[in-house]
Amino acid sequence: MSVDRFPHSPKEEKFKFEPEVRAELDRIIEKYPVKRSALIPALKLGQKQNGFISSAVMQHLADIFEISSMEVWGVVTFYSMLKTHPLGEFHFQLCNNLSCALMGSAALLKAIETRLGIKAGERREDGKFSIEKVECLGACGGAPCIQINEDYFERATPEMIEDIVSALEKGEYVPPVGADEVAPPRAGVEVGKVEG
Amino acid sequence: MTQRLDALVEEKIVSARFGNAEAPNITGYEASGGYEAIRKILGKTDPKDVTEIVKTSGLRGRGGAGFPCGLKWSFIPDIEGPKYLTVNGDEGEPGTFKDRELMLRDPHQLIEGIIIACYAVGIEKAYIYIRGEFAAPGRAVDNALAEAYGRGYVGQNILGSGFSCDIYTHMGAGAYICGEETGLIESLEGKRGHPRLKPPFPAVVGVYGCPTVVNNVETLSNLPHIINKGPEWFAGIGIDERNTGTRMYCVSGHVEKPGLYELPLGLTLEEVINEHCGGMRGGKALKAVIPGGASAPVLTAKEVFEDKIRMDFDALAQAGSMGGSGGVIVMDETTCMVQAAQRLALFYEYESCGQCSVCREGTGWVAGILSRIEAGRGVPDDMTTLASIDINMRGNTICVLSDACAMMFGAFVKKFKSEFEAHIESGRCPHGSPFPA
Repeated sequence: MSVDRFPHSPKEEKFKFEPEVRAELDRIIEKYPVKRSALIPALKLGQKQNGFISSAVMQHLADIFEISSMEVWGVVTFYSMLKTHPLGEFHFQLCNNLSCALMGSAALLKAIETRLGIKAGERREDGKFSIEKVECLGACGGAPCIQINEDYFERATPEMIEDIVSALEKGEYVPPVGADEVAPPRAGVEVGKVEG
Repeated sequence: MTQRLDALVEEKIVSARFGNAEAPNITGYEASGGYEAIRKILGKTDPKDVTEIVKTSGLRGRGGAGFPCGLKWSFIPDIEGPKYLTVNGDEGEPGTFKDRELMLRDPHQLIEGIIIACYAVGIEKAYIYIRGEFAAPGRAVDNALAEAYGRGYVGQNILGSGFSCDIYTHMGAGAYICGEETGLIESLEGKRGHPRLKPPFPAVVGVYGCPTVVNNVETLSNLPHIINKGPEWFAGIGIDERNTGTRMYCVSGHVEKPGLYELPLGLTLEEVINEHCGGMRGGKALKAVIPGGASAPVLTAKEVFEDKIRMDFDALAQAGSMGGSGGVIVMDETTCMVQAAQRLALFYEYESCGQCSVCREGTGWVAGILSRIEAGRGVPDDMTTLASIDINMRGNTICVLSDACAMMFGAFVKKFKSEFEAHIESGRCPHGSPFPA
């Protein structure tokens, strides 16, 4: 376990939900008999708007949920998807657990690192890409598996990495590969444009 | 016995609609018999009788512990006030990937199962806790829920029966331990996912301090079929009355055809690998199999081929392992057992929630020692230290993550002791570390 310290931001840093995000949070809060249940969804909304969870985001949520920012911080540090540092525009999460390791995740990681010019745990200077080694993604039948932002890419190969990265660099939409293909499209993805 | 089961391998229950591209949509689901089960029982069958039907079917939990589903429901006290169902879709046990596909490919089946469970127990609010990484399954379930609300299958006065039930999705944020039912409840309440001390069990004090049923996605997905075809039909599939129905075996690793296989409970592991998964990849020899997710003690090739261990709850328990989550990880002769154990130990170290010192320290020690042995820097004392850690990590913590880690490395060390010793004696990995961490 690594110990993160509460990130003190410069005093001038401010964060407030955009009105439409705040409205979305209010709709989420209504799902639960106890408001606190919406804290994790709220942190994700804060992360989405701000790019990462800063102390200002935590303070804003502490005010909304009427708890201390340290209480919010305790929750933030528990969950791997809540980030206190900015990620790349495209965040590559490579499964590193046993099934994926057996099926060649090490070679896949090398291909990703070489193609993107950064190591696992790093974010490229232009902010376009970042890489993270993660634990089991729950797609072991399609090992080795990577997740790029929301989408899974099963049975990934170094050749696929080349195609995916080239397309992303050109600003093209890259659809997921494997069981995710059957899901309704992500918000903001125009189905008509879906063409690898 | 194999004669009887052989006749049943074509029987698909929860994955019956997987080949149907329209199944995730409400029209496709309705066209294939969907929502018939709730039409049949809501307002017509006494809720207590629904619980009896599920008890008679012998359905056991498909999440890991294999606890009888109907019995779990009957622990909910018959009192006034809110009760909850929390659906465990926090699939994270390494080697397991069935709930993801059940939510993606047949989300309405899950929703119908939830309504049946809620009706039986008298629950009016259900939360589907979906692991955070499962964005696409989350969208599939949200989409299906919106459709089901639109047709009156969920919500107020369902199908005019007078029974009301709301279902919500709740996305996790990345933590294996939230798959433990009380960790899940804490997480649903917006806190760190620290498992709770039991008793009280969730059936008495669960989410928001209220009686709560926690059921796995696959378990609930079986319910519409049990209602439609009857408990006797379900109990007739599987090896005996304690191991009924099918399981979604999630096969990964060194087989020709990794993937999801729904098969009757009671086939042998050899049959699953050779007859259904196309045998070993490239004709290599089998070395080891983890039969029920990372926490299930590893089995040797001898246990698979000579002892012919069956893949049901009781046979695996008798063999000192467990059916767990149905995650079958197959490893061939090229795999280094020290490295496999090391990889899993690093997982437990990372995922330990940290509230019990035995687990927090123990997982770290195990990961450290196994990493040292794999790197060729092990010392003979390491074997003694591992044995001592093994004893201390069992039965001493709030939840079983610590026990799971001990069961995992304990079995690797016991069954492949010579490989560990060879690493220590030669000062290197004899397999050349096939998958550098």
